[in-house]
Amino acid sequence: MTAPKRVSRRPSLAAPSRSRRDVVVRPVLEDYDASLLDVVDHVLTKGVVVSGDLVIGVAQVDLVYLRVSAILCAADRILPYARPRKKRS
Amino acid sequence: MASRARDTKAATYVYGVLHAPKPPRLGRAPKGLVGTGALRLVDAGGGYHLVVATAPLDRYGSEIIDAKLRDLKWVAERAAAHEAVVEHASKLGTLVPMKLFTMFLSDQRAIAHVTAKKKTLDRIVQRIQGCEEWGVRVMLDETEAAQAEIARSARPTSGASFLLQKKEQRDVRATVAQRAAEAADAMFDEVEALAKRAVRRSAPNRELAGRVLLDAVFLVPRERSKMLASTVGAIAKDVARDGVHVRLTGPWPAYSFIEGR
Repeated sequence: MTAPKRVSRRPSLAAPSRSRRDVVVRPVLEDYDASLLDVVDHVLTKGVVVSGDLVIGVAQVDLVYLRVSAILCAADRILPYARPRKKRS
Repeated sequence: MASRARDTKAATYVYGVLHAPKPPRLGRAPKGLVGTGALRLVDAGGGYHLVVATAPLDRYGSEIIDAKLRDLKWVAERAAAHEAVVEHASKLGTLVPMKLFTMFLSDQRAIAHVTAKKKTLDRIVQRIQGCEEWGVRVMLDETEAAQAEIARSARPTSGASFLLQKKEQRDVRATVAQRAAEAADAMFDEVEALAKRAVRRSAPNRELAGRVLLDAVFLVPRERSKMLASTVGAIAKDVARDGVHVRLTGPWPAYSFIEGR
């Protein structure tokens, strides 16, 4: 059995999006790598964090948007063996 | 030039809180977020060291960040820079990674925060020590799944009425969704058994709820990462023909497991 390949997390801004499925998010995803969106999904905090000394708040609406983007994009970037691409002729 | 503690023109950007028995050394560290000062280690006492940089508020003030959050390119560049520093610092001890844009008004305020939260930090360090975060997503391709199901239950169509066909299609869809949801639950349970902690996240919207069957993060001891990969891989291989796709990402710093509790 093949061991699953780690999805590369080295983000590259130049890599083209491979999202074909969702027309709605496509404009957002152009020029973005799924792995980069994953980084954003992991490092961005949820909700607003303004307490005492903490300076920063993060708008919630954008986060949901980013998570949706990450998930939709990721849908196309599954582990290579998980989706054998059958050539149809 | 490093800003003074009370200088309101700059904030202390915190990448993470490092717990190391001996004073760590940064070594050849990544640059960090664009426009911020050089990466520094700030001793916060009790074996804790803050991994920080000075961030000018004219570039990283809260209004600016709020406005820029709509700019995915802007956010993504900073997210990648943040992640690079966090990954580097993770090698120097047990790092409690901070989320993107965590800032304090000064080094002193950041130190005070660590001092006040020391007990919580101790617990978190205990929890994440020797562990890594992994993300698992299970997604359903309904079309593919339905095709697979139809192929499986293929039988002569002679005499099948239009209505009967319609009904069959509906049944197929229900069967497929049911099986996929079960696969996702099984995935969660099996990976959870390997993990120290597990968090299942809900789909960000209803439209995605049907397609994203599982969006979970797991805190897994480093020595089990191979087992994790083969477990996820085996399930993924098993369900792939049913139009269920699995995506494993990691290892990540323990971003999702740094809540105090």
